Amino acid sequence: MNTESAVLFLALVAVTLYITYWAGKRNKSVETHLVAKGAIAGRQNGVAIAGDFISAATFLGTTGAIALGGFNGFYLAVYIPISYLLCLLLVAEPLRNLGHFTLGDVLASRFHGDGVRAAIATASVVVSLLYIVAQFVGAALLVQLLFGVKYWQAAGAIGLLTLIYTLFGGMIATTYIQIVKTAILLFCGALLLVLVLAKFGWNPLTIFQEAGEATKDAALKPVRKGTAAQWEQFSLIFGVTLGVLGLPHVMIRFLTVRDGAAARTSAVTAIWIFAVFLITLPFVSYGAMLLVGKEAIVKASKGGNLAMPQLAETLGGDLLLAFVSAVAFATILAALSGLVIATTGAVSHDIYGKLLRKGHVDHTRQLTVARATTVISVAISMLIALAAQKQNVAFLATLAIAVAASANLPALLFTIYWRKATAAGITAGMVAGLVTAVVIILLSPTFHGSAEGALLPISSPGIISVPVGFLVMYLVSLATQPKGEALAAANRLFDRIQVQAVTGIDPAKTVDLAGQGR
Amino acid sequence: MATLDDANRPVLQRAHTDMVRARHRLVIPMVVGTLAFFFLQQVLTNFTSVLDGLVFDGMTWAYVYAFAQFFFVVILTTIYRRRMQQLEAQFPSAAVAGAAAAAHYDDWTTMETHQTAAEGDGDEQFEHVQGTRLDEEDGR
Repeated sequence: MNTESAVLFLALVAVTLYITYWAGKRNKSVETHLVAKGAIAGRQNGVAIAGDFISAATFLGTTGAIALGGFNGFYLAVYIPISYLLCLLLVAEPLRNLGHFTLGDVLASRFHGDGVRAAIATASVVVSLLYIVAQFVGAALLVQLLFGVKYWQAAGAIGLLTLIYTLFGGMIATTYIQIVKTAILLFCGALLLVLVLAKFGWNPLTIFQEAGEATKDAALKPVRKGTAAQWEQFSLIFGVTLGVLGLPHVMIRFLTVRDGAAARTSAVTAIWIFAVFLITLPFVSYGAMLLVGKEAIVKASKGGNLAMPQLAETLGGDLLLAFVSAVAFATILAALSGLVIATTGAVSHDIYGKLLRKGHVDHTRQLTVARATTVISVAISMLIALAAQKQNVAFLATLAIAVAASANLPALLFTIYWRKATAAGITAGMVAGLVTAVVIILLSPTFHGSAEGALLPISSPGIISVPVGFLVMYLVSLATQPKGEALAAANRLFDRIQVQAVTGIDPAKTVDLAGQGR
Repeated sequence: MATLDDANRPVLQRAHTDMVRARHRLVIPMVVGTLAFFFLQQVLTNFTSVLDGLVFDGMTWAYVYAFAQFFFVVILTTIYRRRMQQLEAQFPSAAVAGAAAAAHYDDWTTMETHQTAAEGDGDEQFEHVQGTRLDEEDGR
């Protein structure tokens, strides 16, 4: 690590630790620890949401994929604004209006038994832990490359800082660190774009023209590598587009604001940031391809993950390289912290508070459990990351988002929008979606390391497991319809849920509106 | 906070129901349009070559379609935000009540406990709401 990197790295860590100290003084209750007590402003939350999804995978991975793979790499950016538009239209406001701490609250608002909450809590913990481990290993390898440190040192630093942020600062620290990181990342992206444009006569189209000339237009066209690869690509994008709407660490961000309108503002803000930032990625990526060169990018990292740092070094020397590396490091820490908080909420609120203690739990005790869960989930992830340095863990992230799309998303949509959904249907659909996703991954080339020996040709289960989740939920719900008075009660409850999802109030416990709304 | 008398209650329930219906009428075509627009691009680029051609030097139809999606998303987001603001202005009771209910609880666990306790009899109340005050219910 050179002097510039060390200084910037330490400055960034100092800022994040100060935010944690500031947040720690306010982080005194379980409500604050898990969802910042709903006190985050809509626009601030939108910036944090954008930060959650402009992760190292997007900033480094997608740009590298475009630089090396051309148009096909851009698929990994285009789906993000689409996902969040669907999120805005379908789940953002209902989620805030029905939930308090977790996705489990949303489902439990309609299905009061333990089964549904247990299913969504389990799925949330599974998704978040898989994601944490995948991110942890990827992050440690990346930090190892960026800063030239040993793998265990990288994993240790990431684990320790994530633990400090989440344990002491809770959701408040996680959110504000994410906001600061997003601001720096957007500045970094804008700076790289300006420097690239300066090299190409300030004309964005010149970059595309030169990329086309250098590759005989191959970089600008979709690449189709045979039937299996095409279905794999389609299934991957299908799964991730829908999976975003079921990712616990993304969805709980809508619970950190005051009401449905603020949740809407959050989603709108995030969408604008995505649209403005992601649309610039092909220009910067082709800039890297032309200025750094494909061979140099592949030599530094096979998947092209270091294309942005290499471009920064080419354009701005060691100082800009240090800046981009520090931003990438902050990105990794902020994303991991959000994942840890999501796991903490599902364990301390759903599993401990609601399932084990049946809601009879005092705040201090629940906060203690939340903090213990934070320590345990970071420790387990770090140990797995240390053990899995040379293992193929790419399938974990794929599996996580597939489970989110196949289990969590159908459960959320059916709970909010389908009158005939039943608890048995929701539970069965979630189990079916989860099991199908796991089985497909186990039989896929990603898990086996190569296409040889794998029983299935595709690695992304979304195109099969998502319809299975929805279909099983639909059929089992139809087969378990209540009758008589139970049906009437279920219909009345659904009517209430529908009103509450849109307006934020339970009509059965409404307040006077005569003088207020006029 | 004033109490809700029985005469206002059916009007309020109708306003809520109308707002739910209006939102669904707004959201469903947008969701269908978004899915169709996005996955059409995925099908066309993954399984056909119709977007492979150049629009002009350095720009393929595939990229034009991909960039268009960003504008599509921003335009739909803006339309949705404005329409929801209009709906909330049209049905102010629902929005005000939502804000009042959210503001009432400083402690969310208290709200949750309160709601859990009320879950058992809430269904009946939806049709036969008794004149209650939230602040009285919560013991304040």
